[in-house]
Amino acid sequence: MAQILLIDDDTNLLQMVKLMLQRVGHEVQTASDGEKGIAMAADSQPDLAIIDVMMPGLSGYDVVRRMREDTRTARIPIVILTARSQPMDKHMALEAGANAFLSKPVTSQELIDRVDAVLRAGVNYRVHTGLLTEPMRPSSPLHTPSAAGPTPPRQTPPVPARSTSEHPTSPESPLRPSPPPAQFPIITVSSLRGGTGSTTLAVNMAMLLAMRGRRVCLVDLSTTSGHIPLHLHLTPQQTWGDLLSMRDAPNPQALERLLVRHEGSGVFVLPAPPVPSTQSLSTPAIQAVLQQLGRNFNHVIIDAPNLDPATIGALQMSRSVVVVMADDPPSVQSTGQYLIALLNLGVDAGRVRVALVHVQPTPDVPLETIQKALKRPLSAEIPYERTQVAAIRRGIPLAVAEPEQPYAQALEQLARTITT
Amino acid sequence: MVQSASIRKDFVSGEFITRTFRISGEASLRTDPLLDQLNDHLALFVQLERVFISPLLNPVALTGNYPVGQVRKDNLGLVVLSNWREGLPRREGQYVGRDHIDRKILIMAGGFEVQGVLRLHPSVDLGNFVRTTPEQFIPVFEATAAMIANPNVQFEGGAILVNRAQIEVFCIVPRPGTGPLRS
Repeated sequence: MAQILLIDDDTNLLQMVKLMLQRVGHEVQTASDGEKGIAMAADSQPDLAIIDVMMPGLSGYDVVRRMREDTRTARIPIVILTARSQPMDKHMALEAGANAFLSKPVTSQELIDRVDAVLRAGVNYRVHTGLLTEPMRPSSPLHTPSAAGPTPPRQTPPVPARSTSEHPTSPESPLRPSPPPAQFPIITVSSLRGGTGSTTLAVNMAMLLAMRGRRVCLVDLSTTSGHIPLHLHLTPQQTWGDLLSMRDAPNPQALERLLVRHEGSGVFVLPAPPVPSTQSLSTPAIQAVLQQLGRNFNHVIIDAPNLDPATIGALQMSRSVVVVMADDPPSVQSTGQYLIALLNLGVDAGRVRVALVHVQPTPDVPLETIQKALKRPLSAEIPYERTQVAAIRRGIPLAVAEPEQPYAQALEQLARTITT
Repeated sequence: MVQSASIRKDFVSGEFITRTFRISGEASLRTDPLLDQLNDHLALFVQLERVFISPLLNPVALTGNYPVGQVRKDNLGLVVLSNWREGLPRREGQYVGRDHIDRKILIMAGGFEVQGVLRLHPSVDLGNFVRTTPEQFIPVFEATAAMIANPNVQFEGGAILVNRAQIEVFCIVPRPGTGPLRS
């Protein structure tokens, strides 16, 4: 439970946000203008402040600056919540010294997730959309000793876990764990943006490797109804969701029962729950699973569409990470941020490959622009394939049905690059 | 139901851009959707509440705030909505329809370069539409607007409503040919 100060001139919104935070166990104080808010922050030393920008008198930016200049309030993490949601407003808020920026309207879940992430990360980190963190720049007022004075580091209180701690899904701090060595033959295929064809890529890559006579296991870590069984026309009876109720790591027999064999290729699949789940496997749980699979298969290919504790665990153990992107601006942005997050997670750039998948017939953003934005070359460019949907309907991946087509050829080249 | 902390019920928050100011405010939706209010030829002004004003030269600085303000519609160049659904009529029609298609356009208006898509029925000729529609404001979806005098000043939103009277240039972006991969 944390103590949170809300500063906003809109009393209805104050009450609404207060209720949202109280419901998950936080203690909330409110102030209806900037001056009062600064005084309350200095007096009560809250664990976090949520501040509106558009207020009569002192604006939210002024409040943030004044709090950062006062030694009593300089180490309080700040979230800006405002209806002014343009990129320049976000930039201004973060430059003023805020740790996170949220635009109204905000859902209860978004607010709570961001508050928890900021509390976990502390005052020296910025928390962006998707809960990606980055260190505050040294030029930030927080890092200017002359402005803030010598202040002891603030200990942020532990954030309440919303799932039971004994459960395999207990939420570790997902963003800065220590990475173990990548010693297993694991390839994680991941994208933070939906619709980029990452599942299709993972499935086809598994097929290509299986066609070379390799023992391959496909792991679907999706928490939002995994699609690998759909691609392969499989009807799994059990999924990794069955592991959520186990207190200990699964034994080989239990894990074997969860695997489904694709008859045509011999690829084994560890499917995801068909019903969207609010829980994922914990980092230790997935790592125990992957260790067992890694010992028994030549390649373990993971389809990881979320950045949750399970994916973090998989990323840490992966020999290669394929970040899949499409050629549209949101995908370029997500990929850029994802690459930064991977570095923060300890996944070194040498293990990461970026694959561009054309999901529409005509490219949106030129290749050069994408590479310039990402500041790195692409490892593969997978052409648009209009028969992709038909392949899913048939349950026969294109790599098997049409191995001579450019799509399969490009994937073959990517698979060769990764596995040699 | 997803609970959300929002601007007030029955209000839409938007950025109202003139050649000089960025005006952030909330328009009431109790009578009509914002687009209908802007296109109402019988009213010269639109009323905003919780008005915060910034000069366009420094659009993040808040230089004034007032509980209520009246903005003269013909002096507005653009109105930026973060979510188009909040400001446009819900009814199926000119801009909302299953068979509508997106066509990329570029508009110079009110000192801004606006890029985005017009969402209309495929049978509608865009040039004709812009020339002949009786509506004063037209919505450009998934739009960005960059100030021509200072391109660092940019706005983006689910829809930008462009004042047709302030349009200097209107261009339809040609559809690109086949990409390099399909050669």
